[in-house]
Amino acid sequence: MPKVTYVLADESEHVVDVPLGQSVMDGSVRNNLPGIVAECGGSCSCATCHVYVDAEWREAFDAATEEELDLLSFADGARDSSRLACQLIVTDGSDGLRVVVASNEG
Amino acid sequence: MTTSEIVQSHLVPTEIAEQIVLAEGHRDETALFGAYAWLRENLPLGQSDVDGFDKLWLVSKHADIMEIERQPDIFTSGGGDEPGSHNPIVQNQAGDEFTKGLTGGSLRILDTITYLDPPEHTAVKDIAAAWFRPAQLKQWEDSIRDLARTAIDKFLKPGVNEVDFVKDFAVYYPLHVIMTLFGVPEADEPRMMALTQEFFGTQDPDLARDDVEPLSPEAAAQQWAAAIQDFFAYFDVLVEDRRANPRDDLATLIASARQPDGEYYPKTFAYGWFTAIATAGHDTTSSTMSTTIEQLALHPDQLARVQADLGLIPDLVNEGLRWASPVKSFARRTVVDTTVGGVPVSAGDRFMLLYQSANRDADVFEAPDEFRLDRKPNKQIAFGYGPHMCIGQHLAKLELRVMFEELLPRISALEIVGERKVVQTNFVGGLKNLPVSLTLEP
Repeated sequence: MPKVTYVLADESEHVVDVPLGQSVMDGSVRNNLPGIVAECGGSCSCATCHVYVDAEWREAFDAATEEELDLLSFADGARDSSRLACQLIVTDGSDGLRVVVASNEG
Repeated sequence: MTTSEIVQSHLVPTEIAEQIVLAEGHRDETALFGAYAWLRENLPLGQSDVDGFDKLWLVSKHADIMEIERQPDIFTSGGGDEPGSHNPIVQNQAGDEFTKGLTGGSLRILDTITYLDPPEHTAVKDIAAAWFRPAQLKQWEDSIRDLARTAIDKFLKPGVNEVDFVKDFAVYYPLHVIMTLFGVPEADEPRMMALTQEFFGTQDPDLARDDVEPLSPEAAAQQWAAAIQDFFAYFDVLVEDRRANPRDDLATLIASARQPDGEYYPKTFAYGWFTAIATAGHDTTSSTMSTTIEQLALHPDQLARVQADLGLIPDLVNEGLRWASPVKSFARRTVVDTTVGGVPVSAGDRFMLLYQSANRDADVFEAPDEFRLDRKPNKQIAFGYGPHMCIGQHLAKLELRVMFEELLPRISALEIVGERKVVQTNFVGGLKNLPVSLTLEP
């Protein structure tokens, strides 16, 4: 299973094995990591799974849709590297991914 | 489960409660929205005690619905540790008793996500959740656009159209889109439409099934059961076919889903998914389309504005959703003593979440009773919130956006030319008819 590293607000790093086909959000929520709240349960609707993705990893996922960009435009702390973790689906190419969890709840 | 006694200061006046809880109350939208406004102003979380129904907390505020829906473990859809002990859809006690009679004691008439709580809900939702992601749906946009153009050409003509916008136009395209993606042949669509109307129209005497005595206390539940049996028989053939002959469609994805142990899910879960998709997947979208067209007819300035800038259509769709709120309510039940909006509530209490009311909440929307296509952000809650939020929301928005992109630029005149009615229901409904004069450019 691909390993994904989540960097939390306190700078602690947590490595999680995320099954193929699950989202980066699932990998956090289903392992009870704090930080990614995911209020809407992963339906690209609430922006409470806001993460920052390093530049070299951006090509590894589908580009953000209008729906996602719209939500991110109203999220606190949004940057060019911002993504919603619920829309990042883990594939074989995701092994070693590192995401920084946004410190606020969007 | 014990339910706490009603505290007099929380009791909603009978007239207000009946307007909201009884299906009949929903025929008169002016009175209905007046009742919602009264609740938000005077008793944002009030208890109703309507004859024949369980006691229900009526949840009228946007923030309170979000608070409840983001805690599915505490405010359960299906009853938590006792699956099937709670009905997430408000029906009267006679209807619930009839449902239990059919199922052998459970209120879970379908194995579908609406009735499930986590972790079962999470696992079953996973079967198709990825398919409904916006990035996945995007690849279908061109096909959906073709279907929108075909619908306009088939049901409308260049020049003046004197039509019932609901029955002569709006109902067909969302049905055709979902059935195409789902994998049901076009020839079977009328059957799916009829079943949907029975499914959601059970409380409306105009839509009652011929073979069930109308308005008898158990008629609604009997009609549900009859409709569901029809669905199951049809879907069983579909499940078997897709397991044997997989295709690139949603039916295959669901029919071939397996549990962690490698076995197929019991067929009832496929039936549940199929029923949810076939019923919830189009009526709500056509209602929103019709309501939006009605508002544009009533506000020609906004029609002109969006025609001049088609980039406003996603905002128009959101405002149309806020205004239409085709899903009027769902219900939840607490498993522990807790609070909602600071008000203490007891384990076993039931809550009726009033989405139409939340979408007119002045704490969230400026001038909530005005249709404004440029609201941004528009925190409409028409799809609900939390893990039970409508799984098809992005498909619905995509269908509506594409249809308006194709239809609105061609409209040179739009006028309402007759009376309109809404479906009599406290659950899923909307406009039943909308007589318009619609002039289309070639």
